[in-house]
Amino acid sequence: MSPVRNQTRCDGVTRRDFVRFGSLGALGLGLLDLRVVGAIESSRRNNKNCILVWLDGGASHLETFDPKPLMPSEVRGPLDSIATSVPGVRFGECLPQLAERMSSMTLLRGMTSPLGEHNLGAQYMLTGYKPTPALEYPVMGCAVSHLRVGTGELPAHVAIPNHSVGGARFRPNGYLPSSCLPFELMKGEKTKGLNAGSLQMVGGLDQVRVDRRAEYLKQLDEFSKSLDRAGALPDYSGLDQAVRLITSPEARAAFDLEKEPGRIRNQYGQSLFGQSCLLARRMIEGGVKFVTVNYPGWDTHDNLVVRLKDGYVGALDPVGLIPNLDRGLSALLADLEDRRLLDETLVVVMAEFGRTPRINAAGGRDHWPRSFSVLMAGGGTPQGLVFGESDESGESPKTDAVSPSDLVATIYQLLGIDPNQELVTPDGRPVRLVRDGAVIRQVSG
Amino acid sequence: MFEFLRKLPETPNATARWICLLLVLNGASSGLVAEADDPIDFDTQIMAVISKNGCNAAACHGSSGGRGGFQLSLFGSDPDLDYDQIVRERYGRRIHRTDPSNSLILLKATDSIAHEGGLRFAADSREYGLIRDWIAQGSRRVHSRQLQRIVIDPPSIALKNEGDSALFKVMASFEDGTTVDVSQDAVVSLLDDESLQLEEMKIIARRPGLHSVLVRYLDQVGLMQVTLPYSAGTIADLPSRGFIDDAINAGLNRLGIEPVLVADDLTLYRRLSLDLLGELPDFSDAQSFANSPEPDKYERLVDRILADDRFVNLWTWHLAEWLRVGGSGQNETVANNYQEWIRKRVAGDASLARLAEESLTATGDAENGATGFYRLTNEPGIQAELACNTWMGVRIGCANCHNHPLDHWKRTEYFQFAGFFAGIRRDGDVRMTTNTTLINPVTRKLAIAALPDGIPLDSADPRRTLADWLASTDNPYFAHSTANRTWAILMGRGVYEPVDDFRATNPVSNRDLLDGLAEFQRANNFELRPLVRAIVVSEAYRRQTTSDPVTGQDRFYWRFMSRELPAPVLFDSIEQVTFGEQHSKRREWLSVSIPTQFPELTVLGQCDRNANCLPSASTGASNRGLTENLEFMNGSILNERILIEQGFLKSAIGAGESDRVILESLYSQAFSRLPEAKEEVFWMERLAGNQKPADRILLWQDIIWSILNSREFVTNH
Repeated sequence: MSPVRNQTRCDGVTRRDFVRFGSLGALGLGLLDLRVVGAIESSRRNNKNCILVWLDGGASHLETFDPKPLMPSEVRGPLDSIATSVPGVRFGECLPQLAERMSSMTLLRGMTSPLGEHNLGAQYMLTGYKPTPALEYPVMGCAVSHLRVGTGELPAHVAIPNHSVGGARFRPNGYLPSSCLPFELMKGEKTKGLNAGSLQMVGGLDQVRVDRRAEYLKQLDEFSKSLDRAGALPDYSGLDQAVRLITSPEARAAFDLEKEPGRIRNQYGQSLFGQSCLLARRMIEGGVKFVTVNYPGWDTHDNLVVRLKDGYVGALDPVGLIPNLDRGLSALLADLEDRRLLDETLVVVMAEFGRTPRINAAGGRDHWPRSFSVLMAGGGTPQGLVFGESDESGESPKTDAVSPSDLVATIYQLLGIDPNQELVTPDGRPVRLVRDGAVIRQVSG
Repeated sequence: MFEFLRKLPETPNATARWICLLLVLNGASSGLVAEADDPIDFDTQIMAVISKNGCNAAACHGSSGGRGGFQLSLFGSDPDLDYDQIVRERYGRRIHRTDPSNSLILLKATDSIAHEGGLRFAADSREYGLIRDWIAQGSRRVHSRQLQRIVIDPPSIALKNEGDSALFKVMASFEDGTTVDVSQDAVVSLLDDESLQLEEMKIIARRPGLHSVLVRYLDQVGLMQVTLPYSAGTIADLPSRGFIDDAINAGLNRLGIEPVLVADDLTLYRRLSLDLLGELPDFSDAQSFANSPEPDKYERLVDRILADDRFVNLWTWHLAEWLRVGGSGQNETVANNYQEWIRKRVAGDASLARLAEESLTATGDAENGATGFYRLTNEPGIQAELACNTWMGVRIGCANCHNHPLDHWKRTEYFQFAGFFAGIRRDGDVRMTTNTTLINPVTRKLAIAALPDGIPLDSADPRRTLADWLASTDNPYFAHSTANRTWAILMGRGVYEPVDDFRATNPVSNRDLLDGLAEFQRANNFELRPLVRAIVVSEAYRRQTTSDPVTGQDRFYWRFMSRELPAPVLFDSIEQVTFGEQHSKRREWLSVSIPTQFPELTVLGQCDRNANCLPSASTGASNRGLTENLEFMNGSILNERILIEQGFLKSAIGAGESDRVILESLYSQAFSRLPEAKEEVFWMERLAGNQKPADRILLWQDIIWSILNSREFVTNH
């Protein structure tokens, strides 16, 4: 819903935006300079990729990136905290490797959203728009894949193992065509390891026949359309992409984890999440622009110790959600760094919301959107920056609050995509990529 | 006053204009009386100012836990709490009785001292004066009047041209008999701020269509619809076959939309077969229908279909989606029994009221399939949400934590509903006990089952009263929501959408149509078949589909919405084409009770019944992404079936059929028509050069593949 007295113009630029543009001049940066800087910036940034690690269900900020060790136990929770490589900044005890890396990462501790329901919260965090019944908006991965072409035969947007986020009750492409939907590795399949079986050409199929099928299908639809028998023509780019993917041996090889040495596979951990991170790296190497690594299970309403730390009752080595995150993610960051891919790849770790500061009766934490954290690394983000903080119990942001729209605008900016640009809906309506968010300059550089 | 009249839109009905004017005059005069020296009322005047200025929004002090140590109830749902917070909390330092202008709430609201929320209103504003005067009067709570309802005046507006504008008012009726213009304090917002523009209480039309203005005042919400036609002039003489067409035609006239003609007989035959039986029709039956000269052949066909066993199969599936069979981890025995119970009822009179009653009052072990509904959750609150969602089409989930800002549902009512399910035990047997531990957080006492208007409950099993109330005329939701959902299944889109979100602020595309359908439901004992029949014999259902990709006007039903076949129907249809004479090998996909067990169904578009399965609102633009395209191209779903031993293709080639015969039987089976001349030429040219048997069968595989992926095949149109 829009405010009663709408202060924005039709294009959504507020008066305050003009003030901000104008004030740059006062800082000694004329318009001309700005344009030059802009051109350099955009060429430097044009090739940025993104790996979005989505902690589906809403990870507890208090057990991960914003512990409150000085609070009483009902807030502090059952787990300890540890120092990180940035003095004064502590992480939850299950994140030793990431704690070591903190000095090369950026942490937003003032994240805040009004939406405490999975589906709505996830939509807001992933699209930058508060969900409304009037229009569905695209998630970042879809917008990126709509605006950018992957550099190889691989699709621009891949979700590992799938894109079932926030209960999967919204269309990730929003108003954009279905061609920008992520390629989901294991859609509708029960988890049985990562494979891309559908990429193997079935017996007897070859390039000629794959192309022929696509041609026949388009011709059939054209016939039906002329008879008004089938509704509107569909968008064929999903089909065309499938054809390209199937007919490219390089593309198929990118999905094959067996090509990785056992040592590397082990570094990431043998968990589905660890191997998903490894596959994400292979995707980036293959030219994918946006990888969503979906890590489900963070809706921890009860039993934090088992779910977050141990993994099962009586575990000797903790294999719960957070240890797996620590291992997989830090292996990913190290690997990207080794391969000199980290500067051009933004890694973002986020969820739909955080968890209640107070432990509930079941020893868990419930949904808490008002204050939580987002972690970023690579892609030109500052090293060792902690932006914003929550109050003493992690209940509300205290300084530098960041809304989902701000976050999404900042991520686009980091990827070299202008968050103010307009996209067009199928009925011809121009919509800004992000409308109500301001880029966080301290983070975007 | 006359100035105002001139700005009113031209309404076709002059009396309506006079009624508006009278209301305005009446409201204005009583408004004056209320403004005199009477004490300012906290509950209706101060609360309204707080809401209007967004102080109690979710992002501000209305958030649970408040903001900056100051907590207000979300959207002003709890004036008791708010009064305490403003007047008593923090030792009353939020107000300054002797120097009202120095009250903290005024200093904050005017941003005179640091306020995270910035300036809400200025010191010379009306709001400021009202709060200041109220404090000066002693910041009392006089309860001088109680809000009964709000009326938006006019209730709807019809504009003619882009840029036209009209004024409106929000009138509040109070228990003491006064009616006051509360426009200044009502929160007015737009569902789509690019189609309408709001300037104070003036609405300006920017795009054609049916648009909505939302109004909130204290705890009441309302909606005003604004129409701007797509084209000028009325559309004359639209054919009608009853109340459905009358309502739709009136809507099309209001919006200046010209509907298309009805589809041809072969198309209608295929449409009915897929929509009512879930199968592709037999082509020779379709042809004899098309060739029949009988004037009432269509109605007779519908009656024949409604008596068919396959109707029971398909509509059992629709109801299984509706009632979430196999959801929430139900095991196969539970899911099968649940589904079989539905099947028995659908095979009988298929009364939705009876289904609701039996499922809500069910007891016993898993053998009694009606208990399936109670095997979806152990939580009384969730059970209440499911019951309301399934049988009233409303989402009361928000009211678990707070009063619903966009509807009439209150937190108290949530726990009254939950109270009906609090005593249920599910230890193998579903049974009713009197042991409950569910606490209503509003009263801090045990949640007590109760119905609106204090209807007395059956003491042995209060669920019985709930079930009776549900389908009674006292309940406005049951008939509307069940009729709307059935309508959505057959027409591709509900009169309101989503079909499980019926509320005061969710716009309805045609109010008369929805009321008519609900009325029909009641008159027919909520039985499925009469309603299905009424819908499919309508002119609106028989219209053609078109290839126009713009879907904005589809909610007015000017054409038949082409839509994807439900996953199991598509799967069955694929097997109908490919298996040929091997019928017996087909697995009836419609009768799978736990669809998530089959990844193929998910790829074909089956939704997960753990979530909320709603009839598809897809209108032609396919939402198949890369994942699905890869599976179809490369996976086994199509490739294995096309080549099945003794299936259609292998048998036809084996029997030495000519290309022309094969093509014709494929077209007639898949599309219920024969190929047009240009189509035949196209395919024959492709086939001509390839008479080596090995090449020919590959070519045919690819042709069948493209048929099974074509829009004409995968949609009902």
